[in-house]
Formats: sequence, C-alpha cells, structure tokens
Amino acid sequence: MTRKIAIIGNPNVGKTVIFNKLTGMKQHVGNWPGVTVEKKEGRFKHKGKTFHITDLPGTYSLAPHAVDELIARKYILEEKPEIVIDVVDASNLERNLYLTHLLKELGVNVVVALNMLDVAENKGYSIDAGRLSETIGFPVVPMIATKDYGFKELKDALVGSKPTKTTAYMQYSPKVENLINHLSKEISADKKLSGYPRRWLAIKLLERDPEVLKCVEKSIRRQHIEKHLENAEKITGEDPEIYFTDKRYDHIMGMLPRFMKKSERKDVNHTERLDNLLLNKHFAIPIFLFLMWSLFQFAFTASVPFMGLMEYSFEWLGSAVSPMVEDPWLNSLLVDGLIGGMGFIAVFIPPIMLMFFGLSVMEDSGYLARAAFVTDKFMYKLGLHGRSFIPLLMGFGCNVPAIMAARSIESNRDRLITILINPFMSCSARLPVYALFAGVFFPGMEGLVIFSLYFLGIIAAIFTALLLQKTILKGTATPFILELPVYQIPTLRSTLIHMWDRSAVFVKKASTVLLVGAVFVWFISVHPWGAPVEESYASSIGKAVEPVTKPLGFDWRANVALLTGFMAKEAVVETFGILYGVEDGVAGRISANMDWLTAYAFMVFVLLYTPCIAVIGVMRSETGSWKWPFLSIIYSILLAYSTALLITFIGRSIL
Amino acid sequence: MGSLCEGESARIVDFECDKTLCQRIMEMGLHKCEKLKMSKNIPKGPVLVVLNDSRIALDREVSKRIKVI
Repeated sequence: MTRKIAIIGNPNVGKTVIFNKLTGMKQHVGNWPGVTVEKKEGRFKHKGKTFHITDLPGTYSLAPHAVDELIARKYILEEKPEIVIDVVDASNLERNLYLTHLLKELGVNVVVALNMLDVAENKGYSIDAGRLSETIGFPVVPMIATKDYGFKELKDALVGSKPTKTTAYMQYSPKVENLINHLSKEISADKKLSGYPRRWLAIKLLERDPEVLKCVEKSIRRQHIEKHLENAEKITGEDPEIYFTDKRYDHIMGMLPRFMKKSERKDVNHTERLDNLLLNKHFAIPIFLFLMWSLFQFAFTASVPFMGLMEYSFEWLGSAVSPMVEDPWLNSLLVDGLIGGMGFIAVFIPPIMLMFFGLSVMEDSGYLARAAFVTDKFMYKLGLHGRSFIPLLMGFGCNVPAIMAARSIESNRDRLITILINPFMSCSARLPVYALFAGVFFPGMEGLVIFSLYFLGIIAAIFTALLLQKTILKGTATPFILELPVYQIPTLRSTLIHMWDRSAVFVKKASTVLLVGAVFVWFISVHPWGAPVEESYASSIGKAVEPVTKPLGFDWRANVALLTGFMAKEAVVETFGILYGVEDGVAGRISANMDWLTAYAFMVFVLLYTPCIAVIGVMRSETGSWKWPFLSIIYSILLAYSTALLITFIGRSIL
Repeated sequence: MGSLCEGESARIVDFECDKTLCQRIMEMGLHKCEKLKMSKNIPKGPVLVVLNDSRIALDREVSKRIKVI
C-alpha cells in the first residue's frame, strides 16, 4: 500500500534538496489546480513500503496571505497526508519552529527533519535533537541534506511513524483556552464542520481568518459561534491576529533553552562579506548589470552550435522524409508545415535551456534574491517591485522563458503586469529584422538605430505598466518582503534538475500552440494549391489590409511578412525573401520599395506589434485564461499602429 | 526602522500597519522584542536587516511601519 506524505518548510531550508534526493528522478512536475505554482510529486520505497510524496510550496506560515500558504494549508486539510515532513533550518530554529507549531495546531502527524546542522554548528549553536523531540512531541531527525547525512534515519522515521492523537497542545491564557473550548463545542455540534480539526478551527476563528470565517457562515451554529467571537476582543485585548502570533513566539522563545545552546563564536561570515561587495552602494548596480550581461552572452553564444545542430537535423529530417511521400500536397504539409514548424520550435530550445541553466545557478547560489533587492528602488517607481525585474530582463533574450519566470512573483496583480509588458522587451528574434533594415537604410548608424528601438521598447513597457495600473489592474504594489538566503555553491545535480523542470514545461506547452500556428502559416502561404505566392491566401490577406497600412507606407509584402512574423519574428526576414523570390539580394529589392522613414516605422511596428505565437501560448498557460493574451494582441497592435503612424506623420511633416 | 544607519542595532517595539501585513512580517521572524541590525539602507530604496542570522529585505514603506528603539 502506498502511503501519502507531504514535505513542507520555510523557503531556503533545503526542502527541495531533500525532496530531490528522496525521489531521485522519479518526479512529476505539474501545476496546482487553478494557479501556476509548481506542484512536484514523486515516489520512493523504503523497507518494502512505498511513499507518494508531494512537495508543498516553501512557506513561513499557514495563514492565507499568499497563494503558496493557501495551497499548503488546503492540501493538508483536504488531502490529509498521513505524514508531513517539516524541514527545519537548525541555524534559525526560532522562526522555523513557528511553522512546526502551526502544523501541530492543525493536528497533523509530523516528522521534523532538522536540517543544516553544519551551518548551525558554524554559527555556534548546539542542539539536542532528543530533547527537541520531547519538547515538541514529534520525532526529530538530524540532517545535513547537502552532504547526504540523515536520509536513512529520515526514511526509518517515516516507516515507523504512526498516527498519534496529540493532546499536549500549547496553552494560551486560561480565558482564551476557555473561549477555544466553547467554540470547539459549537463546532462539534455541526456535522458539516467535522472534517476540520476542532481546536484549529476555533483558534482560526479567533484569529479572524477570512477563509475560515467564510466556511462557518453557513453553519447551523453560526449565531452561537458569533456570540462567542464578540467576546473575543475583550479577552485577547489588542488585535487577535497579533495576539496569537505573539503568544506562539513567546512559547517558542520559552522552550528554546531546553534544547539549544549558543556559544559566542565569531564565525567567518562569508555571506555578510559577499553582501558588502554585491550590495555595495556604488558597485551593486554595475555588478548586477555585468552578471546579467554575462548570462545573456552565455545563453546566446554557447547555444549557437546547438541551434545550428537543431536546424541541420530538421533539414536533414525533411530531406529524408521528402522522397518517401509522393503526393505533393501531403509532402508539402509534412516537410514544410510540420517538420519545418517543429524545426522552428526546436531552434528555440537550446538558448532557453541555457538561459534557465544560468538562471538556476544564480538562483541556487543566492544571487537572484539579491538582484531583486538591487532593482527594487527602480521598479518601485513603476508600481512594481524587485521581483519583477528578472522576468523583464530575460525578455531581451526570449519572452517565453521570461514570462514563465514571472511565476516567482506572489501577487497576482504584479505578475499580470509583468507578463503583459514583457513582450515590449525586444527579444533576440527581432534582432535579425533590425539588422536587415538598419543595414539597408541606415548604413553607418546601425548601432544607434537598433539601440533606439530597444530603448523605445522599454518606454512602451513603462508606459503600459503605468497605464495598466491606472485602468484595469488598479492597486498599489504589494509590500516587498524577501528573505535573502546564504550564498552557496550550487550543485550541478540540482541545477540540472531545475533547468530540466522549466525547459520541459516550455517544450510541452509552447510546442502544441507553435505547431498549430506553423501549420496555419504554411496553409495560407501555399493555398490555393499550386498558385504562386503572389496569389496565395497570405497575399490576399496582405492586399486586403493594404488600405489600413497605407498611411504607414507598408505594401502587401510587408503585411504578409508581419503576418508570418506572428509565428516567429525572425520569419519576417525570411518572408521577404520568399515574396521577392530571391534568396540573396533582398536588401536591394526592399530599398526600391520603401524609404528610410517607412523602414524605421516598419521596425517600430515589428518591435511593438503582437507577441509571437509561442508567447501567446505561454501567456495563456501562465494566466490560465485567453482573456490576457487577446488583450495583449489587440493592445499591442493598436500601440504599434499608432506609434508607427505618429513617426511617419512627424517625419513627413518635418521633411 | 527606516531611519537606522547601516551597522546600527535596535529592538522592535511596535508595528503600524494593517493586521495581515503585520502578521506576515512577524511570521518571517520580525516579531516584537527581537533585536535586529541594519545591514544595508539604500537611500529611497529598500533596506536589509539581519536578525537571528537571517537577512530580510524590506521595501522602504514597510520599514517605516516598524517601530524600533
């Protein structure tokens, strides 16, 4: 029989390391229902018993402040895991035991993994695990997860763990206990509430927990419960939320000396030293920019050979499949549509994987949290905070992983803004377009012209962020509170797992949408079957919208190029090649058909108009609805059109 | 708290913010009577405090709400 267990803990206590080492590669990554918080599950066997383990989000408490905390609480209450492993940072027991306490109030069967003992020792703490176990009433397993110490003991403890009815709860003041008892009685009188631990529900009612208050609203004992609650404030005095939090801490502080001693040791604090350098008033921003630049250089330089390999493999596959299919239509569908389309997606994979690799190294080493700190001051002015910066910066590489990286932002409003303004960060796929047009129309000034486009993109993002806050996403930035972990040398294993998890999500989700899009573009550019490109559906569409784009000076070819650019922005250049019917010498033909002002307007249009189909795909999956991607398409096309029109208009009137 | 200089230590005495934010701050270890040290105080930007060997970054708005002596 499989035993259902879960693992929980504060952020940065080594919970993921323990989870990974327990399950090996037997993991499954998905999302928690309704939200885009990653849900990891895995299995392992020990002494003939199979365990199914769920990784709960890292959380400080079980109060419903953030999505993470709600998920953890809901899982424990509704899925009722047999055992919960509570990973505790031995070097910061005071705060970590707070969560352990909440778990106890919730009445769950806990095994405490007392992790990071080496760090605790370095800081001069000595902890008696046996006495800790006696005091809190749960089995305690001393561990150093990064050094593989304590795993056998942890698994033994899991096998040996039996459900026990805890009775030794922490006691609040007699008057409060009296209230808790009264409330518990009312709760047990209502069968509908019997699924929840009584004492816990009573305490949460007193704490005015909004979720719990909601579930009591329909109770038959509602009036009685409310009567007791009216008295509550007189007894808990100040605000009850704070009263209970305070009391729990008092209790923990009181019991700490029973199992923990601190010797005054002046330890070598490498974290503080590194922080003095990396968060230094003068150097913090240059260092940050340098590291980010290195990340991009690494991701896009190191991936070039792999991208070539991908491209080559799909070309080879196409040429291998082609002679096997006789029917020309089917042949074109397979080779140009499907295999060609898959090739497009595959080329994206190496830079995305390497970007995630670099990012995982930064995250696991502890720098990423610092980057949020360094950029917070600037982001605050945009109504966002530091956590939004990394996703925006990654957008210069590719908006797809960038939007996925926005997952680390807790507040829904901040996350949506970050996702919606992300496409204005000019991704690397737009660069070939700029390179072509800037080379043809602005010889000698290419760098300046391309820089102006990147800059314009940033302005558009800032403008959009401010606009969204004034209109549909009102509200103030959520307070920024973030614990900065100690610096660590990341292990290759966990970095690879991290990278793989994220890349797999991209491949799975974006590929389905991308493939459909690729086949669609193929379809409109080769149909009616047998007609030359000038008479295809694509060109008909291009010609149909010509009146609209005429003020901008775009002809039907430019329109078709923009249409295919919807699939992938680098396809814009390729489309011009196909439409002019030449492989090389596109430059000469283009310059004959537009002037420099139109060319600049066209580049601006490419920068701002609809995100590519892969971005639309992740926007859909990350926001959980079609509403936001559609809004993004419409808004960005309008913005692109009006900006390009403005540029053309001003340009023409000056010249 | 926001007016502490880098390197200065103080004790938390009170919070002046809405109750949920207050609870959240406390749950991260910043509860009353706790002694903290200001590690980085970026002008008009966030602050970084050290307490119990953990480093907590807070934005200026939040840091203003925490009263210390």
